[in-house]
Amino acid sequence: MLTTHQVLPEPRERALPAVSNARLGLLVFLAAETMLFAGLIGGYMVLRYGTTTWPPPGQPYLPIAITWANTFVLLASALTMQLAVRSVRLGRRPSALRLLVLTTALGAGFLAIQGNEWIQLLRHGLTVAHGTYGASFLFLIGLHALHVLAAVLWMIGLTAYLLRQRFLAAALPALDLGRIYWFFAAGLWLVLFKVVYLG
Amino acid sequence: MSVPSAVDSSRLGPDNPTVPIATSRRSLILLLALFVLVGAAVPMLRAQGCSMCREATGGADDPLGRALHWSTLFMVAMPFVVVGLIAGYVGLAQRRALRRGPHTNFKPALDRSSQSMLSPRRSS
Repeated sequence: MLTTHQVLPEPRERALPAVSNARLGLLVFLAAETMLFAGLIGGYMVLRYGTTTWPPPGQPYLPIAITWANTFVLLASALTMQLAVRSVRLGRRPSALRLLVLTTALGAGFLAIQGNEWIQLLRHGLTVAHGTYGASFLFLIGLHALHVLAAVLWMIGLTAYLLRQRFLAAALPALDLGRIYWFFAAGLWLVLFKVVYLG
Repeated sequence: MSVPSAVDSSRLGPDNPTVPIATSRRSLILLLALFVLVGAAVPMLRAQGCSMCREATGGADDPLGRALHWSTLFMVAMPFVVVGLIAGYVGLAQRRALRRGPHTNFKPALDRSSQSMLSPRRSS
């Protein structure tokens, strides 16, 4: 006699989506981020191209040479990120870990150079209180730096997870999302560098 | 045994590549037509980025008017660029998935020992 009348569901066949939910969610998030930055860049364009003299009198010029170097640092980190994903896909654990640590270090290096540049500019009087030039520069670049910081923290967490995890493939979805985010931060920087620094 | 999927993949794939190629040709023609239309509309866009702003700020030679004009065009274009990129990516991924054929999260049937564990218990 049956004491339970539980009917277990049959395993159902379901087509996997072409784009995973996590990836689609991240893309929607990045779309919102893009619109946020588009609004800020649009405002900056009005301030920048609406005046004949830029930077305003008495305000410091932005350092171009060191920022070029910093741009290459960020682009190199995007490259190492891509190579890290490739290594994970191929199952090369030491190489993947090395590349992830290198990516994180390059991202942190970018932030360190940026921070040093900010300190110099603040010393030269480029503050939020000194008008739209300082406010727009610090807000735009600062917001981007926050994004890079988030990406660096993500990579630190992922590296720690990979160190504990026995199977590399387990980290692949998170690493893939991290790569998309990292590429977004690098691509956004190229736009900001062109608009804010090169003019 | 063929595994059914939510999409009909029988029309696509390496055996019958004509459908995706024809679709991609149609898409390409549509894309080219769109580029031509946008290209033709550029002079009009230059004139109408923010006509009221231009008048209010002192004409075409005023830097603030020009800045507002380009900023407006940039802001108008961005949502289309963002949505277009995401839609294009999802469309490409969908097409790639169709070419790969049915891929499901179907789990193979449980083996006998597992089935016996899951079957309704009998009372003693």
